[in-house]
Amino acid sequence: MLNFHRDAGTPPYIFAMQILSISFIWVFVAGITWWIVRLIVLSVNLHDAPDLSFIISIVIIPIFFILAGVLTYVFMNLQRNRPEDIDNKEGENEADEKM
Amino acid sequence: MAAEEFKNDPDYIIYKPIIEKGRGAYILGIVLVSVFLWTMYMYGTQLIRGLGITGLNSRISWGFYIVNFVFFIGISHAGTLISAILRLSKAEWRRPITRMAEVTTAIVLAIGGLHPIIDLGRPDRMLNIFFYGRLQSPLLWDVTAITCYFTASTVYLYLPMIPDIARMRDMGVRPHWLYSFLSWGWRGTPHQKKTLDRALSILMVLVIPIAISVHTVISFIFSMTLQPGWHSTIFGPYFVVGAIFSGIAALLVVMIIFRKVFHLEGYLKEVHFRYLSTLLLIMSFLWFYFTFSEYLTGIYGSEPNEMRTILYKFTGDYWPFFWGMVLCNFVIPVVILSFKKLKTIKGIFIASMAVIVGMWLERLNIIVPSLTIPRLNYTPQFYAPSLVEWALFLAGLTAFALAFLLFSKFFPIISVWEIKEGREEVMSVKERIDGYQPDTDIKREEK
Repeated sequence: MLNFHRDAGTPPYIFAMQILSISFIWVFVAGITWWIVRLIVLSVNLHDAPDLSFIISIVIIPIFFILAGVLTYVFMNLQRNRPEDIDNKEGENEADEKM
Repeated sequence: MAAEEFKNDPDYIIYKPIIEKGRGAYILGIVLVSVFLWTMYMYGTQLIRGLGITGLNSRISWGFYIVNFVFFIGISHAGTLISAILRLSKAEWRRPITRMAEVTTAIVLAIGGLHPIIDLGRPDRMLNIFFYGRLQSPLLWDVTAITCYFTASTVYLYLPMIPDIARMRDMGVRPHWLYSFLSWGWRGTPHQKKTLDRALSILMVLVIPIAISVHTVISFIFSMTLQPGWHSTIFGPYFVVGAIFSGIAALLVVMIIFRKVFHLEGYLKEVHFRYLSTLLLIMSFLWFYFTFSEYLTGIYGSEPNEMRTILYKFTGDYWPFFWGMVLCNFVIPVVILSFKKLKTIKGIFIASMAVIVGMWLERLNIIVPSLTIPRLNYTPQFYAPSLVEWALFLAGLTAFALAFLLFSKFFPIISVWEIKEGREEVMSVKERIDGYQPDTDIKREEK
């Protein structure tokens, strides 16, 4: 389970905007998927090259999902505060100061 | 305050255009906005009076707008594709050029993608694609492919920018909320670096086939018809080669301009131009090979309609454009880039500009003369663009310059964190290069 929460340095309203932008990306992907599925249904109903329509959608739809997935993955992992990372960062800062 | 702290940064010169906004940028911005507003006024006249005020007519229904559409989408191959290939192959010299390449892609894709809407005359008709679209049409494949490429390119541009944006956030550069929003809480922890690396690895593999498929699909809107001059099986790779060719040329022009204006000679060194211009030279030969194959097969077949189109291109009303294309895409770049004496920054700039002009002429030669020669017993019609069409071509170029100017005033035009990473990884690169070398006898014995 991903330990997802707001980074301490990010103000709440910025965090809300970031969540909104990620949600928008998923709405966009869902919209495109719905549109392409609708086009496939139309081509099946009209018996007008449904095989071609299936091939295009099989390629396009997963790409959009991968792109949205990658963005969500990055966003969630950047917001994650892992204790060992914080310790490392503090250690690095201390070392820098000593130098 | 931010400026003071930044001045200690060894890469301050990259941040300088963001921190110190000079008067020159404002003047250039005002000029570009004024020109753009005038072109929008011209578009307004087209909206009110219809496509009748363009040079398009009943037989030549695709003119400047579609030429510019194919041209701009072709230029977009500069960035994401080249950047992804260089990143994947771990070419160390990529570091100062990837950002510019990716920005070019995102901007020209947005501009190119709007041209078919201009060509529709009534932009509200675009909604028909959503309500009554048919997936069997290559035009619809274009819409999906370009949307997909634009999304992928924007993500691919944005993710590697996060560490640089976070640096500006930490240094208090304004507007602070923008950098805070776009940096997504980046603090440079090992976990965050690993996440970004992983995401970029996925994207660079994903982006290459998308980029190639986009221009192949664009060629399909021509080659899927039975129109002489368009119906060709090699149009897919021919378009992709042309796109990469014009993309590299555009990237070189952008690099030379930014190098000069922002004094980036320390980052964009001659070696970068030498490598990229060699690639441009190779692409020039490849373009000539495809063009030669395309016309040779047509001439050898001697199909009457095909021959009429070919001869019309060679000797008809558009002959200066055809031979101008050959001159700009082959003769000029090959002459300049083959000789070390001519292969200077100035020479590369001239060759690149010639290629950009030549590739625009190529798009014109593909689209217009083929429509000019009718297969039915009609008299051929001539197409000459009107002032509105020229104005909207100018709109595209102005929007490109304006968008680049805006970008350079808010974000570093060179990926600073990648430059720093490159400096830190000198030893590991040396080890990697050593790893490529054949084993010596001593090493073999040790093994």
